[in-house]
Amino acid sequence: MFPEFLNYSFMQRALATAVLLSPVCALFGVFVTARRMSFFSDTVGHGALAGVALGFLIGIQNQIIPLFAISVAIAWLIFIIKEKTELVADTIMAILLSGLVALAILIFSYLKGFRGELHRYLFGDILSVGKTDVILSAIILLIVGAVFFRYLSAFSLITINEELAHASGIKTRFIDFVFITALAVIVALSIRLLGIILVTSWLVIPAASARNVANNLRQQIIYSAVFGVASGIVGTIASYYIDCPSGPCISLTCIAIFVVTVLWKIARRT
Amino acid sequence: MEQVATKTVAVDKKTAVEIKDLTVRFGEKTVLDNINLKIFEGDFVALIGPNGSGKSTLLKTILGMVQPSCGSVTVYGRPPGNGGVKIGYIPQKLNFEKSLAITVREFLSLGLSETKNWFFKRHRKLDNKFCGILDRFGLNNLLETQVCRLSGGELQKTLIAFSLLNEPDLLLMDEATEGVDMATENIIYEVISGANKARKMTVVMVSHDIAMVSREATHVIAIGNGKVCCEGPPAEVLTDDSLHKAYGIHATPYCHHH
Repeated sequence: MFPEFLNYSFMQRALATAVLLSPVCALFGVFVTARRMSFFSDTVGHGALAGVALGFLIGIQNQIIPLFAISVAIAWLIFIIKEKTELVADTIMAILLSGLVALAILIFSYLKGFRGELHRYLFGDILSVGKTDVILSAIILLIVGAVFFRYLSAFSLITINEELAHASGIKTRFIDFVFITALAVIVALSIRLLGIILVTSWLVIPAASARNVANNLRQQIIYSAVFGVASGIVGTIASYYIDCPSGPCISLTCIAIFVVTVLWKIARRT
Repeated sequence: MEQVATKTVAVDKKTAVEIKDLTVRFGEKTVLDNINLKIFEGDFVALIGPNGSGKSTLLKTILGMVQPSCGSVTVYGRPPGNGGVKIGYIPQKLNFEKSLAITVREFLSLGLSETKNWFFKRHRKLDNKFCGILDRFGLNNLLETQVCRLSGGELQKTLIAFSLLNEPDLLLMDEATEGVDMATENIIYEVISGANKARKMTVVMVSHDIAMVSREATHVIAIGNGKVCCEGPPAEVLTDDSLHKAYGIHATPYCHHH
């Protein structure tokens, strides 16, 4: 009655994580694209590799802890450096991204024998999703989802104009801090499925697809979540059947949906 | 040296904005240099001066977005951005983010505290909250339109409608009608002047349009090189001498008369 892949517990875990994480990624993605922060999530994702490498170096068993810690630390570091210096955000992120990836590769070269692990973190792997990931994903969905709807007006106004948001009584600095912290947490957790290289695609592409078909912000948010979940499920199942890392499978599904929405947009115009 | 505060003010007028010894520095550069000003409730104040003179920084300091390096700013007796006082802000020519499909209705909903959770509310229920202001601007038929698809004039009117929704005590305008046609500009100032007179809304606007300033403002502050060059009623400030002090050029302003 059920498809064969559902008999495997690793597939159940991977699918559950995809269903739980994809909507939060896609929801935040709406504002990540509008605030042009895709490079920010890329920096956090790539930088997390250094956390994983350090975790292996000091012998931590569960890589979730260094992954979270370093992702949030990088997000806060970008926030602080941008505030305290006159450096452009783009420059800060480029320095951090290249520095942390270089450090991670150095550590992995020194450690030897972790090539498989490196491959998993770079491209995502449905086999690497454990019970902890599923539980954490559920918690993240609840907390970060609640944060999203609680601060939806604030996120929208800051995206439109910071001064306008400030005049409306929004504590812009606090809201920015909440946004980047939530984003770092989502990115860290999505790395198991998407991999470091492709993690941004889950944030950006469903939101961009939603923009193609939405007539208002409410629709854009709903469609983004729907496209995110669809690409998560289809990509994870495809990864099982074609025996390929889950990251590229989910990303290509996202892109396929994007192409369909572009064609739909063109067809609607003509 | 302390600048002279508004001379024409009645004794019982409430102070809306008080600026004491305000200096703002960005790195090595001093943008505002020892400014002392008092703006009274119900005043329609125009800040004039050349580009880079510090007008927009002064406006953002009153808004609370820019922190003073020295001195203090209070809005109705409180530090700006501390709540309690309703402030409206109309930015200069907003490049609206195209990747956000937000409609005029959704955008206006963000401005009202009672519609903050607009995502879960039925659209029609929100409309009666802002139909009054939309009627005056003729924006009723644009409620479903995405803000990024509005024309320049429609966007400015929407921004002004947004900033007036909560009936602010203080309205800050940063070259808000730049690039807007005359007819739209007239409607905008009609609505703002109306609120200024009807409920003593204090207005502080940055403008390069000297003719409009002489027509609308009750008090003009000319800023040059981060300092107040002169201030007073339009007839006193908009003179060849005063404008020369602020802008460094000789100009005879053409003034409208009511």
